Amino acid sequence: MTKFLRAHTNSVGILAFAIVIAALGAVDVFRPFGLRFSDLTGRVVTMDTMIRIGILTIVVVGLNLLMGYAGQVSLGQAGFYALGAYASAILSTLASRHKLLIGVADQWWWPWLMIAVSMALTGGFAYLVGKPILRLKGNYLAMATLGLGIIIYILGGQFEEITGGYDGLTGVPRLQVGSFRLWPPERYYFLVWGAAIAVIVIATNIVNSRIGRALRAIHTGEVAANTCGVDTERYKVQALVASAMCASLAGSLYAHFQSTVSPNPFNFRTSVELVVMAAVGGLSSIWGAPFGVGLIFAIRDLLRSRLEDILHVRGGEYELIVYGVMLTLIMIFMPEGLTSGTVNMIRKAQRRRAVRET
Amino acid sequence: MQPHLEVTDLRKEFEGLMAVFDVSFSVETGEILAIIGPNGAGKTTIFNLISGVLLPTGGTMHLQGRKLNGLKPHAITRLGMARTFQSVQLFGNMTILENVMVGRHSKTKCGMLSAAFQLPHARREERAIRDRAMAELARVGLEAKANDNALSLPFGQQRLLEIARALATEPRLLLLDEPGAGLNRPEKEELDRLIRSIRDDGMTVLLVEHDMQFVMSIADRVVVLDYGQKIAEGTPAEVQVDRRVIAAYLGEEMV
Repeated sequence: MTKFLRAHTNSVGILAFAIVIAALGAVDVFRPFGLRFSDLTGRVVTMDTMIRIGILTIVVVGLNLLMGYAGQVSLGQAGFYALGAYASAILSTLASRHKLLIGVADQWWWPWLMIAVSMALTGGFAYLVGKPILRLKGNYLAMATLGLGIIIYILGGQFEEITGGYDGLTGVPRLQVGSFRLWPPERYYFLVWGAAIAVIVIATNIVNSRIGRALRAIHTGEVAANTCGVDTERYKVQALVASAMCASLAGSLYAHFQSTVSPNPFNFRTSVELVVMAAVGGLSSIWGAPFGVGLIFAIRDLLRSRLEDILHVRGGEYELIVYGVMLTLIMIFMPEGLTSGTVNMIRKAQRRRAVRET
Repeated sequence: MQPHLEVTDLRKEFEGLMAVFDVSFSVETGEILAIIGPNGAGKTTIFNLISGVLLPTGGTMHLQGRKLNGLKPHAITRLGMARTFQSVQLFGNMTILENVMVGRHSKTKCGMLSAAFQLPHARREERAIRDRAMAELARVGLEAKANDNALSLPFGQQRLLEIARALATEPRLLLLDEPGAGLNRPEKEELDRLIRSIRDDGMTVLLVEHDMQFVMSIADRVVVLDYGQKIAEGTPAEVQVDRRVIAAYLGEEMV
């Protein structure tokens, strides 16, 4: 039994995680004893929060591939997230607004198709900017991606006829399969977490493959990887494209969840938050992603509600300070992230005990 | 017969400093050629030029008739050349086995999508990669430690691991940059045996080395560099008695 578990740790882990997620979602569908999901958590965590955690998990998994495995920093991931959200919002409303493609653009599958188109567009954009940008290293790459994210954020506020300016776009349709609407939130929850788990599985497969080894090789020694036959430029670009497509998918899911899109959620602070989430979960641990996102959500909610009482200031900007402190502490004491870090600590303690017993 | 590697008038200038100055030599198929010379003679620079890590300022390099100038390192690896580094460059975030598996990269082709969905051919290829990597580890005697972290190995074995990783690319020409540096006597004897067995398997070996005794025992021919220029070439016995070589190694005043 233990042998089986050890050989299939990943599959068992995925299954267990999926069951827990499904069970949590089922609470709101079946309402046992009239209870809702938020009642289980003392109304602190709501279905809404869970959906947001699921959406950002998808972005963070992509960031893990890029930063944790390929070792390429991105401080502009919110930009790709925005591209996905805007592309989906624009493409799913534009045709019907202008009475074009009647009989096609008003079909239930049109928004789904547009999610795929958005991913392709965002991926294509990442490919184009990736070629020149990924020649940069370290701080320079960080600055370039930072700038890219800010440019996309600003563009989101321009071209009012298309993007709706700083007020944003409204009327993004809810998703449905045939006539089955994936709404209210307790239904959307299953879509988002289904997508998140699929992305986690796919990313895990990638990192455990020849491609994943190539990415890790680039991370530790670009020249050595290159002389081992790895086309380093190509794989760095591929990692960026994959991470951008994850962010795009998440953005699309966000747009159909909110039903409106405005530039504000995609600002620089979101990019920083995403990096902190990835670092907290463990930069090179795909499985850490949902936990990193969840923890930052918990901390942020706590800060928003408590910071005023503690510091006697009106909150908001102070979150960034806390993120900075957290990031520094994690990088010093648990560079492998909280999930892997904790697992390693438990293993070490077990080993120590085993040594003492012999 | 066409030489395996032909280097003609190779030149590399670093901001006014001539690191390699019009060096020409060729490596015949199946031989062990050593490049020697004092510190700063340009030996490692030549390796970096041949393997595509640096771009030459002038001259040409041909591998079995194919021009190497301007090719990226991974493209050169695909043409059948592999190298090791003077300061061992292992992937510290991987196991010993995984390090060698990276070496199989250019000989395998499963892409992002087939990896993402674990398609049958991707799984089959992954098994083949693992088997071949294990075989290369066995060759250098590290198969028992396959799942340990690469950096947990003592230094001497790290060098062997790096050679195994290079062998996994199935090179016809193997470049070894100071393979004996930092090794003790028994380790050097082991390395000597390994290099000979690599040559006996039909590979050509080009190595840079400091240890004269080691070079003299293993090399078929020797190229001597000093201040970026070739000052002598010949069998170990010939270069050992060359006046310019002795001068370069011992200083002018000794002659």
